[in-house]
Amino acid sequence: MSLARSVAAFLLLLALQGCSGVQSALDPSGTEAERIDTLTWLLIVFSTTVFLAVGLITAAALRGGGRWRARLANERLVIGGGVVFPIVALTLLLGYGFYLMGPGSPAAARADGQLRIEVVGERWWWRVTYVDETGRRVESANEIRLPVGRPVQVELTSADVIHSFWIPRLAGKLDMIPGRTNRLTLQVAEAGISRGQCAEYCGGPHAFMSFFAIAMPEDQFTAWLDREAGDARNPSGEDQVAGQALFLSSGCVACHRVRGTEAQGTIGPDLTHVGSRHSLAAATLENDPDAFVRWIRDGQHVKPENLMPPYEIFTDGELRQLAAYLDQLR
Amino acid sequence: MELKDLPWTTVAKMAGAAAGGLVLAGAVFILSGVYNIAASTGHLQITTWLIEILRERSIDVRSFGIKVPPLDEEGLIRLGAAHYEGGCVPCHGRPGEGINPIVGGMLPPPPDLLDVGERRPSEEIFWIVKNGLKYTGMPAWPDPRREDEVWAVTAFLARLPSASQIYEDLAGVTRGGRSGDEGLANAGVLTRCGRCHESEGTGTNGDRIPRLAGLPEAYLLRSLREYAGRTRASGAMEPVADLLSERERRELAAHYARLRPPAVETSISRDPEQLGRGQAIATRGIPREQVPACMNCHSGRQSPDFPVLAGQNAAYIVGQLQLWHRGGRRGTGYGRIMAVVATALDQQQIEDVAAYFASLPAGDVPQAPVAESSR
Amino acid sequence: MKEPAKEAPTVSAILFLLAGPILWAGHLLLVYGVQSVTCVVGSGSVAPSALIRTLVVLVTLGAILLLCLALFFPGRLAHMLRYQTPDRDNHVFSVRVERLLILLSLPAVIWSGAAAFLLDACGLSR
Repeated sequence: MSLARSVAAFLLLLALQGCSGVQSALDPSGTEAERIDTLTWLLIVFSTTVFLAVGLITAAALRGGGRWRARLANERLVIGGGVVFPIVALTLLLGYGFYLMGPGSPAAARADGQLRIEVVGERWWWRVTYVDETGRRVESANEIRLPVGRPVQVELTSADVIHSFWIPRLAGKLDMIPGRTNRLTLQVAEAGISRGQCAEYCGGPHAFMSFFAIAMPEDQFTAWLDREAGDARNPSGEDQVAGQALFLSSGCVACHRVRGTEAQGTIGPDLTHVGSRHSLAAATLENDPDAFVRWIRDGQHVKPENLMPPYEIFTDGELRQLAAYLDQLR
Repeated sequence: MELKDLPWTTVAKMAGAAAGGLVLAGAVFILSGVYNIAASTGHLQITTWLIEILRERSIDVRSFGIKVPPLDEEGLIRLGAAHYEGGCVPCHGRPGEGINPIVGGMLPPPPDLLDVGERRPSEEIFWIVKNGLKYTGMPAWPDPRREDEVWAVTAFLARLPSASQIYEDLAGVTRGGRSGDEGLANAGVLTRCGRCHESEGTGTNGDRIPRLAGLPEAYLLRSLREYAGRTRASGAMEPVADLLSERERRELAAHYARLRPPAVETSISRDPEQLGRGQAIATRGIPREQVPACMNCHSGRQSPDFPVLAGQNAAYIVGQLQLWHRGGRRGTGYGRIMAVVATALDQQQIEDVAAYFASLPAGDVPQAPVAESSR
Repeated sequence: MKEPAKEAPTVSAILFLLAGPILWAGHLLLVYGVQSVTCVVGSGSVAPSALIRTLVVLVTLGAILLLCLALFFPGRLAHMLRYQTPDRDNHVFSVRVERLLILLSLPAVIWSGAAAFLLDACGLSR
């Protein structure tokens, strides 16, 4: 018996883990997620109550004595509990659901046209482009930054297969379908970090296709966007200059872009400010020089079947230089 | 008489005795030295008869299902002939010139191959060249991963005896130019680079041989080392690179890097549409299919470990890309990078891009970045 | 015990007792199908939302009609489905179940149909 109890306790702890964390839908910080959260708990409580009641009635019907059964067979209980109660309760729930999620509801946020983020799902990373009201386009990858309190429209599409965009703390899922643009409005209530995930199986490394969504106060966001729109920092220091030379001459420019240099490839993620991101390789690795080394040399082990060719041609020293260069691209 | 009535114990004893007797006789025969292994006395007639039947049957059956590709391309025949001159002539002699009498004393002697094209079908020639023959001195192809090279030799042999008229030209016997600083490039018979590759003023011996003149020195040295270490497969080049010392490899790499690419006319495609398609792939890539622009690595402005492709023979580029398709050239980190790109190209794209590079003047290194992989 | 030959076949029993939910399911299928296909394929010269609304109203009215018929004429329905109950008690019980389920299905069909007027026909309300 004690084994069963300890297993149960363990499972309970495991389940409770889902209650908080950067990727927990039960810990909302965006307006849509908050609405969903309210409705979720309401439905959970209601359903559980009804389930328990029905369970009790069934138990009484099966095991109870004659008196109980007679009470349960009463016509008023059947009509009242079987017809009137469902109709009334479900009508109220439906109405509340419409109120909460419907287009005319006060809780819905409408994008104010000031900031638009275009996210294109690639295998197996995220191509993110910020478009502000002047039409200026800033391309980045694998991370989304949002201003707090402002509704932002997100346009979703895919470059190859169907992906799905999901930030549990901010909103529900929305598929990214090639040839079609789906629109989502995100509004974040408080500054912080949320983690998002691809929610539609898209091939081998699908499980490693995630990203972080970082919400910042308005002024910080504007400053960040201006920095992001700028060209890459010029390297200083021996290792970083050597790293840049290696980067430009080893074929990296064929797929990657670093604005302000010769590297103008568009097949892979934009690396102009890769050093300032919260993670690397679509939230597969931490962002530090060692992670760069691991990715360049052992990319196929870190994220098997990803589309970057394995770059085993560098010595350890060269890898360190490349990592130093990439890390200072902030 | 019924089975159960036979004296089984006696039978068993007699069989055991007979087997023991055979083993004993065999041991005596083998250990006593009565069998004369000398080549000077030749085989017993029965041994010859057995081996010949075995050989012909084995070749016949095992070469049965081999599909023969088209073998009449000149570049293919030249490649085969040039290898023949270095790798096969020491035993088989040049076609029609007879066998060196010392080698002729081998048992069995290597046959004169003058009329092998008429005596044997191509699939049998291919099989023999690829696998060698037991109980003879015929070795297998130095690297079984390169069947395309074996087909080149087969193409040449299948042409005999008619090709023997122009053998010296096909095999590049007199190529190699002047001596002097090309001495090292024309040292031993096998390592006579000039037989296949360029010399001052002379192009390659056919378009299946890669042009080396003007390629980056680091790349040439790396290639020779990879051939010697067998991480890059080539039955023709591995023995050559292995015979060279490290010092000689360095000198040869420097020699060819300095050599001015001879301006020779090769079979360049004149189809403007094909060249246009090839240029598009080379300068812009195929972003939809994750193919980067070739010029991002191969223009000559990047790492000296990447070969420059401008002016390279189209048939050679096609052959190498097809080799990647077949699973080859993955023995090195560099080859594995290119494998991702090469396998993304289809046959038509391979031919287009090869035609484009062949049409560029050799040694042409652009001043500014020519490529941008854009959508 | 009843003779098995005298009992109604199971299928007719299910169809009779669950007439309400079956009609409800059919209504939902039609409404959902019409809305999804029209929103994706378009509807030629007619505006999608107008077409969807009209069709939804028609289908809903049809479903309500069928449900009311089943509600008020259970005998006809049972006859049509070859559903017989020799026992008087069984008969009363079956009809009661059938009617209660229809009473549940009627509001469901009505709410379902009403959604066509409350929501954007093809919009994504996010």
